[in-house]
Amino acid sequence: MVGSLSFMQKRDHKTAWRFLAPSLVLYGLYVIFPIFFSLYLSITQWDGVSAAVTPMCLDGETSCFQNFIDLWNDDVFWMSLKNNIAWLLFFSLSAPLGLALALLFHVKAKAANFYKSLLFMPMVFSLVVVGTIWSWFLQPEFGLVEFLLKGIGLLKEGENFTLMASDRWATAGLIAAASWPHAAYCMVLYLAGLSNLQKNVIEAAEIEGVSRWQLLWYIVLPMLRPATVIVVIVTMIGALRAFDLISIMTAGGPANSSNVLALYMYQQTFENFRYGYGAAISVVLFAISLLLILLYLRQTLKDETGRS
Amino acid sequence: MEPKRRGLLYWIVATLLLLLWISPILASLLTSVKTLEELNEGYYWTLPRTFSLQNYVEAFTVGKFSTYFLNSLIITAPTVVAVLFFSSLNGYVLAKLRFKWNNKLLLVFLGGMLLPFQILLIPVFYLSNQFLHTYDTRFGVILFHIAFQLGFASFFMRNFIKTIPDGIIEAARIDGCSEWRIYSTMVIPLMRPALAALATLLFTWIWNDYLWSLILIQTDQIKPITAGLQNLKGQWIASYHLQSAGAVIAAIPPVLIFALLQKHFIRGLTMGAGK
Repeated sequence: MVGSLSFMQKRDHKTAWRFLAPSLVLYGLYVIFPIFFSLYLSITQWDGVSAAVTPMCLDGETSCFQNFIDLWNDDVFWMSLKNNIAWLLFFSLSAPLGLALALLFHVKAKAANFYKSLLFMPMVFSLVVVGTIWSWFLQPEFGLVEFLLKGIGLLKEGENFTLMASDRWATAGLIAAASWPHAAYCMVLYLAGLSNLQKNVIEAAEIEGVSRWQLLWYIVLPMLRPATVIVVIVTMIGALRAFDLISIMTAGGPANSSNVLALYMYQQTFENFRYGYGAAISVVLFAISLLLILLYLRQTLKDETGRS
Repeated sequence: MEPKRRGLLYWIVATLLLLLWISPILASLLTSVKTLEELNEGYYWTLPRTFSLQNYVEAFTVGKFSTYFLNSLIITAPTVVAVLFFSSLNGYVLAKLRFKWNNKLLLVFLGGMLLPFQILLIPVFYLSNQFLHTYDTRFGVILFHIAFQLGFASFFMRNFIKTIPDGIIEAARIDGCSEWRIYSTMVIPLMRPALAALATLLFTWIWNDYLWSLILIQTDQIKPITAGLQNLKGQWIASYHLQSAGAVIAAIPPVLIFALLQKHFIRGLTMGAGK
């Protein structure tokens, strides 16, 4: 019996390796190896061209962590980090927004399905499309928002709607644009959560005569907790990944005021050819993300064991 | 919780909210069918005097969107097929084979899908440029997309393949079926809905990618539509009528997929519970 089991296991192992081989090669090459290579590059001053890539402390004078020391003294780095924190905070508002939309449109009606499809739509747009659409929407002289604000008298004749050109508010405009597809995504997850709620608990609460707010706060929200955890983590990862939209709508400007780490890393690396410095920025970004990744893994594993 | 009926007031509020929500889309749609003359006269937000598709024609010809569109298809289609194939193989191993690395492998796949892309940028660029010589080819972008999407897709397929009862697979094994035959003739046919759900997600994500074509492709002729739209913005600054038409064209394939396969798409998103 034991012999046959180990025979089966051996057979399974052989098959497993054969089935996994092409994926492992690709994944190792393009996802696993790059993490370590970036870590290594962050202690070099590679320019992207020279063949030899050696740590800069080999000369015995420079610190191995010179890139990180330079980052510490780099104003744009701090500006980008600050903006990333703003993204983390305010991009997260797409979660309650998605929840509100889900609660509002959680109705059994043919028309509601049609409404939902339209609400979901931004979710399938490329961020380049979102950026293009929103750049026009928020355009300072002729955009629709400017037109509407003038219509209701919030903007005077001759004034321009300068949100995206303002070094204080550009990030707000970017986060609003990014939240548009993301809130739709949160709405999808919450709608799925809502349709899985235990009906008897809610009916019992309604018989007890609780108010709608109490129902939401004490019963529905706790039941949606698993969805919320996933939504929050995915949202935070998204906030750290923010790149496309910023590169398209403001390119980090005006004067780096809307820059973020992901874009600054790209600029330093591929525009200024400071690969080592770029790698150091990516390592900082990675370190922040790692915390979230570990949280996500823990939550998913908890769901796994809870399910089986 | 699910209200059965809602009154008139509800529908008024819901409709207004919906209109507000899609107003950025409506703005671009409206501008895209207006003529430049009409816009130059300052009639931005009136109904179009004539319904003109001229901007779309121009985006396709002058803006080279026909080339970009084709490139996006050439990049997206094989990637989706390859990811479906490899991830279902991985999913089968992770769900049904007694393989001692299964749990660790699952963590690696799951963790990888949440990485910030920046940690991969330079090494992937370096690999393609100096080692694999796939830099500035569509194939190079395809290879990277396949590799990266394997993380999410393998996790996704594993969860679905887990729902197949072990009994029928054991029975096939006792009958002497090879694992490959079990996978290809039993598992895959049962996985059709899951594969459809995964395919819609993958298509959308890969079609919509911008960053990786920016890093890995230099030649304009082989760039995908997202990069093409960005080019259009750079070359025709303030030509909002053209940009709007370009944005609509770039959005059409994923919107079509979503409209036709919404059930699969939504199920994919909620079952995967992560991007």
